[in-house]
Amino acid sequence: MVMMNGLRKWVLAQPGVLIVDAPGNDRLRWQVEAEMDRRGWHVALSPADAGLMLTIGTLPPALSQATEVLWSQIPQPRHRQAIARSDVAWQLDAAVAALTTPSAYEANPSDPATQLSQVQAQNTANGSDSGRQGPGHGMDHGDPGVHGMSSHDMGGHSTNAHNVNGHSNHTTDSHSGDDMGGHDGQGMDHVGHSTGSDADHGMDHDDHGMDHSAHSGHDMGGHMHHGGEVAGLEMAGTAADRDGLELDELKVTLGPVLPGWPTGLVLKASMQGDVLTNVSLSWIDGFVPDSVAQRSEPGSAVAALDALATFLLVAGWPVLARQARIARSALSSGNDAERERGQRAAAAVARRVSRSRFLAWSVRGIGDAGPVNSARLPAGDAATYESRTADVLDRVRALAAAAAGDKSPLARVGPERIEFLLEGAELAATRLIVASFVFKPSPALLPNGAVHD
Amino acid sequence: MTDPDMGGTGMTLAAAWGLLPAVLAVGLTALVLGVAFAAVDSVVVSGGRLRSAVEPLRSSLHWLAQQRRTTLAPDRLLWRSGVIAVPVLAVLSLAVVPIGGRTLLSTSADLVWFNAMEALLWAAVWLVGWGPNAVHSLVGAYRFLAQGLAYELPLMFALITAGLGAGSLRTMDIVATQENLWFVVSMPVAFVVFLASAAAFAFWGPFASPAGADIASGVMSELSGVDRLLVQAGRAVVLGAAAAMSVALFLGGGSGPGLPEPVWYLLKTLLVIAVIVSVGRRIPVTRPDRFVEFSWMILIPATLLQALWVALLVLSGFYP
Repeated sequence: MVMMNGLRKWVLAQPGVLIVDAPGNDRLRWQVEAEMDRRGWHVALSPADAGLMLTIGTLPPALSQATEVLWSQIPQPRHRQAIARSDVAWQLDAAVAALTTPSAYEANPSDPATQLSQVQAQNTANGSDSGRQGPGHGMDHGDPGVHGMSSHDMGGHSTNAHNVNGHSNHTTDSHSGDDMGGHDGQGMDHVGHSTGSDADHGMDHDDHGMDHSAHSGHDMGGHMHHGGEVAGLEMAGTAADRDGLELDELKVTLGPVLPGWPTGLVLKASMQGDVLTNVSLSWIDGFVPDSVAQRSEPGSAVAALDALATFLLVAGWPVLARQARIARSALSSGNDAERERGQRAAAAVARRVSRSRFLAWSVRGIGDAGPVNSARLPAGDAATYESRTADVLDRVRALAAAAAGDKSPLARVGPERIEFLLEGAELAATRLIVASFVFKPSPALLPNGAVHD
Repeated sequence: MTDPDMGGTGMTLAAAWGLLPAVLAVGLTALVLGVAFAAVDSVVVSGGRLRSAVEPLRSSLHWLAQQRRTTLAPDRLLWRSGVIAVPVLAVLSLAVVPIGGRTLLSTSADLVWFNAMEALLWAAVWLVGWGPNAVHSLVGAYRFLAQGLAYELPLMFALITAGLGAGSLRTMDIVATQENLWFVVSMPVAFVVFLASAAAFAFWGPFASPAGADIASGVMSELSGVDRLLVQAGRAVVLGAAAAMSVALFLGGGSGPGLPEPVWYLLKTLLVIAVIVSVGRRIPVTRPDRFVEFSWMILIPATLLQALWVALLVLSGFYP
């Protein structure tokens, strides 16, 4: 028995970690990532790969809802831990210890679908922005049991729990009878013909929810506005692609939680093959000012290293991404000797990034803002790298220069400023383009839930 | 050349040891090669930390204990078939790789067998990506096919070049032909292309875009528990098997001074694994669209010229 416990502890000692960081908590996230690197823990690329979910700081409402859906997709044994203070090592110890307790094997307190509906009810209750999901969401759901919750979920990941109007009568304790509704709506974007066969729901939906058959019949019935559905989801429809061909079209949402992606950023688009059109990019939620979160921006070298580490992860260079994170953590330490070591490490990473011919060959020419387009950037950024330079490679080399100690301040852009670069780009290019920018922080969320810049 | 059924050095592993022990030996070898590859990879990824070598074992046990997840409306039959096919094909490809100086099977077309297993991986990986009814997973599957379009022809030419040099598609004949001079000397391009293709069909390292971080690990994104274990194990075994095959095809098999043949063979295989990992982890992932262009414009002509060069050498009586 003792041996079995020892074995279990050993087996679970290196979990995959899904990090959900509230905006403004970069420093705490860096501490967590540094501690993870020290322990050899890896960042989970999808919920399927995760054992631990760490939430950092106070999550704004919409992000917190997305987190619930993500949590429902993580296989047992699993544990979630809120990291709010800076004694990170202790908190990670506690988290990994909790993985070996029976609680790590508990099913969801309620099944995922119920959580979805609760989440949605909360969303309605707290009045958070429900008008963001674009046209078509305010569909005619006369039946209060109908959810139309469009939680798309790319790769089980980029969950985004939207709300639809017409649900104000829901409360947080909405009963499980809603769950089939939550299910059905999931992954559907009522506007277009988003797909049953292609959209991913990534939910563990196995048998949960089936026990609620008393209610489910009602919900299932109330739901289907379109024909040809599979498991309650519509089949993909077709639309003209960028070359005018009639192709299957899928509504997708990337974010708000994806590895190598600014947490809270949401991209909505139509996808044909892997080409994205009708792209919109925005923050899902504002920033919650609390005791830990801070708006003060870190030194530009540290921020550049952070952006580089993210880019390198997306570009599929994990070894160098790790070195960038190590340099970042050394550079932001209080110790002079350590900072000096960090500077050397940062310079080494920068050198490898700028000199890599392989990287240059792989990413050159994508996300080309071009000299003409620099006019579209805000005037204040004129002297900064986006406007001077054109494609992903140039931006990344500028980041590398900043990481190596180039003193010019990092330019930050609002997400909507780069939408035009993503129009018609492939999924891979889209991710690289987004990762090549440093974004302005999301606007602050006032106590009444309104967003304020 | 040698008749596999005649006993002696031409005998297959199955004939020498009996079918069951031979199959077990192949399975065990697959496990050893897979673990070796995964361990070396883990050490390199963690920045050279030697204790990371146990991580593949730890992850495997973790996946065994982990809940299997599912998605909404998956194509369960095809999904599971793909998940099982990946490791099975990896082990089957080892049937024509020499173990202790013998291959499990010896047909007149060993190289074709090896290549067929890799070609079937196309279907298996596609199904793994298709099955869960998920966007990222499906995009990963498409990427694998696009990449396959890029590497498959160069791989075939590389394999056939080794067969050409030996005048036989039988692995043991190819090993025997290299008694005096390893094939890597006269066919370096084929050797490099073969190793790069191995990384591509295991979608690993610079060819990992089907499981890329930019699509939430693509074909792997919905796999947990034993499903994840099977696919990850399959990928590691594919790479380990390809390293072992490259030793037979290009590095003279088990030949070497002093030590017994199997030891040499193992040492060379480990060396090849170390080289693949250390080179593969030094560079970022290639984008399939750019790789296809490179492959068709440069790799295919290069492997064809390599084959032509070897054909001229064969005509001039260079090979025994």
